[in-house]
Parts: sequence; structure tokens; C-alpha cells
Amino acid sequence: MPIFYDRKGMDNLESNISEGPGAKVLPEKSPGESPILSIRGVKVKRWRNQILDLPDENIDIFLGDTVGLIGENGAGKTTLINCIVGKIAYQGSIERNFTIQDFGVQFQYNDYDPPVKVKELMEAVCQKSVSNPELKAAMKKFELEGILPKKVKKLSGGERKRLTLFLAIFKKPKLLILDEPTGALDYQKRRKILHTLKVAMDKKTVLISTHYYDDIEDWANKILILEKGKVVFFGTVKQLEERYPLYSLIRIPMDMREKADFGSLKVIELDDEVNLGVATQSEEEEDEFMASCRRGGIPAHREEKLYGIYVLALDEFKERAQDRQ
Amino acid sequence: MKYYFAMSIKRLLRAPTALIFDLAYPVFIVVLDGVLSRHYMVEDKSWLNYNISAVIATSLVPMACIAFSMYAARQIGNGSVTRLNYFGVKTRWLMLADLLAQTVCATMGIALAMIAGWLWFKLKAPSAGYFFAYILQIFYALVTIMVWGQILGVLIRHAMGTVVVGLLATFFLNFCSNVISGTLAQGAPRGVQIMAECFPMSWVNYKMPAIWLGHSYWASKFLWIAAIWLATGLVILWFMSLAGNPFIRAVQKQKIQSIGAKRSKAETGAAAEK
Repeated sequence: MPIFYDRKGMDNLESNISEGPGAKVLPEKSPGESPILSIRGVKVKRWRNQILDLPDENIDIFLGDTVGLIGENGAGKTTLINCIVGKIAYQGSIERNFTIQDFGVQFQYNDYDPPVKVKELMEAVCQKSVSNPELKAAMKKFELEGILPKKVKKLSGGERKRLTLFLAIFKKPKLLILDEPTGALDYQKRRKILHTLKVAMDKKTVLISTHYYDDIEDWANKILILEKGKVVFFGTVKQLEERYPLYSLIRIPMDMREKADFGSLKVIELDDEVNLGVATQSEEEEDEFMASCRRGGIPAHREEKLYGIYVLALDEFKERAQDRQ
Repeated sequence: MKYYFAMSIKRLLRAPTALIFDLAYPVFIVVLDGVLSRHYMVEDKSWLNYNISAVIATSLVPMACIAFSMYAARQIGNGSVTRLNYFGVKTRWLMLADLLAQTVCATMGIALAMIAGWLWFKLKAPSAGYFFAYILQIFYALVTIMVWGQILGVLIRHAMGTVVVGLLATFFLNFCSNVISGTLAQGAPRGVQIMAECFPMSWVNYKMPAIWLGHSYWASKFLWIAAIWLATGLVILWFMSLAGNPFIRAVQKQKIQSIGAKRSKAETGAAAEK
């Protein structure tokens, strides 16, 4: 079952998914299987700010799960990853049922010693010569052959990211944590590397934080949405779609608000009030709204579905928070 | 290990501080000493033959306490060791590779200094036995001080910090050398002399010339004092390498716990069956 949390944690759960009044919603569990990663009540405070405040229910990630970690900047995604990998101190518990050899991570910023050359780094991490056929074949998928003689300090952002992803998956980890893996990549490389990652991590576990919703749309089976350090939603993609039904989200500029005919459609402010999102529930509703936009000369753009659902979830979460205040 | 070592030594040879302190500095000190004492002969031997151990000791201290500690601090401080840990690379192997690379580099520097002394300032090598004993003990001193240079770097974790502490350590160890065998040998209080005797570098300066000049094979007091420092240093380094990454500690701890849980479960099951 999915988890929905209000500002304080989990005392206001939706009745259709809870197991009775006041009951805490349980995370999904596969029978007879223990999670590879179990996060419970993790809290991080920096100065006086609570930057991560996860509930006391387990967030369980099982072998084979691909969990999309989404949220705005400052939502706590990187902080959560840093807690999982032990980079920062936290309260609460994180149970890690894997060995070091089963694990790979790619951070947003990856520190390498600047004078080291890519070739030397690769050989040290992979414990193989770069002329090894296995290493050569793997390198090709990440287009790294051309940068072997380069010093790490001379690498571009994209090259550094590709190198890190390559090193993280070379030893075939069971659990891979990716913090914005496609951030500095051009479109083609992004597609290619995502494909390589999907193939390499098939039937294994991935926790991927991203702002590109199409990176995870066909890949993730679970979604964890964070907002200002709190969990908005954790559950399967199917549960997310059931909880926030949406056919499509149409984006129009905010200054077209007066001209647009919204009817009974739900309207949400997007992008720091620069745009508006219009949620439709069926093809007919979408067609009708798009036609009205064309008639009124309003530029309208269909957003990715996962992004649309995320916007709805966030909107509801913020409304609940306001009600409470 | 060979790949760690290859990475480490190549990286070291690209670092200006390593080139200056490991390779250029010993040669510079030999040249300086040789030039200043070029007309001073004792028993048909140039003064450098008597002073070579002091020259080497003077070179070893900044090699370890400044160059190597700075190098080690940079690896830790810039997060590259932690990043490699997350790829499954063990800190102790990286540290060992760095130690070996630095030792090789410093050995090259000392060899260059000796060649410079032989070429330009009449430095005469003793007979094979004494020469071998001398080289062996200098290498032993080198490894000992390098271990402590690495400890300094790992503890301080900040390159500029290591320069300050390294300079202080250099002055202090040179002072100790002088207290035992140099200009301060007569006038220093007994307590200061006892303190100075606790450092192996003081003995390199004091007892090693006798080996180079063919009077004795071993500097026994140096050997056991250095042994204490080396053993202590290696133990500290070992613990430092284990304490490196909290994630690795957490996972290992959990692994141990889960093995313990499985064992106790199996034992309970076996007992129930009985």
C-alpha cells in the first residue's frame, strides 16, 4: 500500500487506503522477502531547520524495485541519499541489507583527485587494464574511449557524469543510487546512457533522483515524492495513478488566465506562478480544452503524465498543509 | 594493488611539491653542503662523507612532514578517497599504495643526491657490506618517517594546515638532531636531550656517519627506537583506514549483525529439532 503523509507525518491518512481509523499505512511488502533498503523515521536537522523529516513507517525498497525520487529543489532528495550512503549524520534508522560490493552510487558532484587521468582511475576502480576486452566493451557504451588520456580536472560535466556512471555500474551492483544522473548530458547521450542503465540494472534495485520525469516514466515501479523534507507519497506507480487520477496536464502561460475557458477543470499554478497547469480527466476534456485554447490563441503544451500527477500530489499536500495551519 | 600503485606514483610525479621536496631538495642540500665544504678534507675524505647522513636526515623530514603529509591531506580533503570508497576501493590499499609511491619517490631523490655527491663532491661509497647496511637503515628511517607523514596528513586533512604543521615538525626534528649530535649537544639540558633521543631522525644524524665511514654496521639504538615508531605508526594508520567511511562501517556492522541473527536463528532451530 502507498504511504501518504501530512505535514506532521502520518496522522491524517486517507481512509480508502488505511487499515482502519488511526491506522498507519503500511509500506508494500513482498511476502517472504526482506527489503534491501529500509528507511524509518529518518530526520536531519541543520542548524534549526528540519531539512528531512521522514515518518516512522518503513519506506521499504525490495530487490528489483526501481524507485523514482522526485521533488523540487530543496525537497530533501540529496539529503536522503546522503543519509542512505552515510555521508551525513541523521536520527532514525536505515537498514541496509547488502554488502559494499553489491552497491553503487553516483552523486550529483563526484570528487576525484584532479591530477589523476581517467585511464588510471578506471584501472584502479575496475582492477583491470583499459586494454581488457570486457572493460573496452563497457567503456564503449558510455563513450569513454576518447577521454582516457585526459586528466579528471579537464573533464566536462557530462564526461565526468558518464565516467562516474560507468564506474558505479561496472561491478554490477544489486543496488544503484543515482542522484540526477542525466543532469549534464545532451539529449542523445542521455537516451543512450539511460538505456544502458536500464539494461544493466534489469531485475536489480535502483533509487534514482531526477528532475526529468521521462527518465523514470517507463522505468520506475515505485515513486517517492518529497517536499521540504517530508514524504508526499510513497508507493507504486499504479497506486500513485489511482490516488491522483489524471488524463493529462496542459500548461498555459499565466498571463492567458483571463482568456482561457477552464470550465470545471482543476487549475494549478506552476513554475513559481509563471504558468498554469490544467488537469484533464479524459481525452474528451483534453480535446475540448485544447480546442478552446486554439480558438483563443492561447499557447498550450501537454506535460509528461508523471509530472502532471506529481503536480497534483504536491498541490494536495500543500492544501492539506495550509488547512492545518 | 598494482593499479593503485600505478595511479598513486603517476599522480605523485605530477605534484610540484613532490617533485620539489622528493627529488630536487635532497640534491639541492647535497650541492649546498658540498659547495660550502668543498675545501674541507678530513683524513683524505671530503667533508660530505661525514655529513651525508645529516644531509639525508635533513631531506627526509620535509619529504615526509611537508610533501607527503600535504599529498595525503589533499586525497582526504578533496573527497576523492571517499568517492573511491563508494566504488568499493578500500582505504587501506589506497593508503598503502600512496606510502609505497612516496617511498619510491623519496628513494629516487636520495639516490640522486648521492650520485650528485659522488659526481661533484668526492663522496666515496664504503665497501659493499657497509654500503648495503647503510642503505638498508636509511630506507628503514625513510619508511618510518613516511608513515608518520601520512598520519599527519590524514589527521589534518587540509593541505595548508599540513604545511604549517610540517614546517614546525621539520624545525623541531632538526632541533632534536642538533641536540644529540650538533651544535647544541653540549649545552642542552638533560631533559631536552632525553626527549631528542626519542626520535629516530636524531639517530640518523648521529650514528649513521659511522656506518658510511665503515666503523660499524648497525646503529642499534636507532633500530629499536625506529621500530617502536614504525609499529605504532602502522597501528594508527590501520585504525585510520578502518575509520574512514561511515557508510562502509554501517554496512559492515549490519552485515555482522545479520550474520549473528542468522546464526542464533539456526542455533534456535537446531535446539528445537533436538
